[in-house]
Amino acid sequence: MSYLNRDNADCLVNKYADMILRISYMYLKHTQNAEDICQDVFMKLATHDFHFDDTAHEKAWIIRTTINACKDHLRTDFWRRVTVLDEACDVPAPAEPESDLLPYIMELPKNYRISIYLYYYENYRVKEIASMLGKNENTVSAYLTRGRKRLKSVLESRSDQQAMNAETGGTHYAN
Amino acid sequence: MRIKFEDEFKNTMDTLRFSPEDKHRMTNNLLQFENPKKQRKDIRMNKSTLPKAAAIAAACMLLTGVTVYAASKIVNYTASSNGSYDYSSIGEMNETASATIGKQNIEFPDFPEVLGDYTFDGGNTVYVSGKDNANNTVDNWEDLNAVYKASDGSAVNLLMSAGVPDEEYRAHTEIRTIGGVTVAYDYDEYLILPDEEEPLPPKVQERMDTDDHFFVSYGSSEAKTKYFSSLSFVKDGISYYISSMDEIPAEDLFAMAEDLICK
Repeated sequence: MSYLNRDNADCLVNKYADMILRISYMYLKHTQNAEDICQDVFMKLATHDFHFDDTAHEKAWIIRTTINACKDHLRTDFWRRVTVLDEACDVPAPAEPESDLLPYIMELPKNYRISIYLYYYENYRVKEIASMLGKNENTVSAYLTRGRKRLKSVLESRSDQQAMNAETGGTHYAN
Repeated sequence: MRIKFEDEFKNTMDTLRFSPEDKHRMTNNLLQFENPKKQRKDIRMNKSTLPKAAAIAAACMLLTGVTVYAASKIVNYTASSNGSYDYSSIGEMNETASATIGKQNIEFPDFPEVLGDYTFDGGNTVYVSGKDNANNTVDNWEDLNAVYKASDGSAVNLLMSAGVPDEEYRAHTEIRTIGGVTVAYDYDEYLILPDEEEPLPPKVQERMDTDDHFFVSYGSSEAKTKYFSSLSFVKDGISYYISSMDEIPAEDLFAMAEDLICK
């Protein structure tokens, strides 16, 4: 896409902005830079003449580019100290999700978090995740296995607690 | 009721979304992309000891910004560049390189499309000016910076400068001679602290005073350490700076230098 009008800009944003937000949250552990990352990704798409085979190809490109943009933000973040405020700085970041489960996931290393997100939320296979992350399949399998293992122990202890509460009408959690 | 991990995770992530107002603003910003605003962001650093290469690279890595650093002859330099790539193809980059005449009428050579395992991603003109004690501009010129990226997202900057090269005041991590050219490599540690007002811990102050490869900067929400690799040499009147914050091995950087020197 090398030309933008209101319609296709709207389409891009509605289609991918939330996904970019989720990926950047999983990678960076906050939502403050998510809008900047969205802009970076969309501008890259808009200013280059990419040709995608299909929607799946386009989505995979967006995901890879978002992850690279997150890495750029991590890289540049420590140099940055904004001393001139503009309108963008007054915009609140999207609210972070609330969940008992999420703190445990966010303690995992970022490659585990991203792999878990792409596997369980976006339903990608290990091979596809490996391609997006620039890793080999065995590495991504290890990320998922180790991530599940670390979460399992947490979830089991939470499940025990839930079982104890069940007598009073609590909720069980399965791994 | 048993809730699966997957279901809870999905339900949680579903709640994370931009508001309609956020999306409307993003769409408006996207439609203005042809005229990206030059964003000004100041970088506060240890002005007296920051290496020039690191400071210019810092401005370039931000893809925008103004940075101030001290140099041996001019009191300080400022370096600024645009908020997005000026040049998105190697062809555009080298058209500019050909058209840019540096100081002392030195012409810029072409930037390579590939540097080691890294491929050209985009580039900028970096506007550099040197100021005196009274903040008068005594000299200014344009440098060119290209960003190269590998498939894993790691990045390397290649800056070419025809400005007056700084005298290096410190011992380098390693020096080699490649094709008759002296190539200096530095591996620097940056401690980023949140608060400039607090006195530095004695050990940190001592290290600043004695370690040529240790710097303190400010602006992080919490104390953190980053590492910056850089390599520099001068060939045919052009100063080359190759730099990265992605833990690229020194041998890879020296190999890039060899490619540039011997081409």
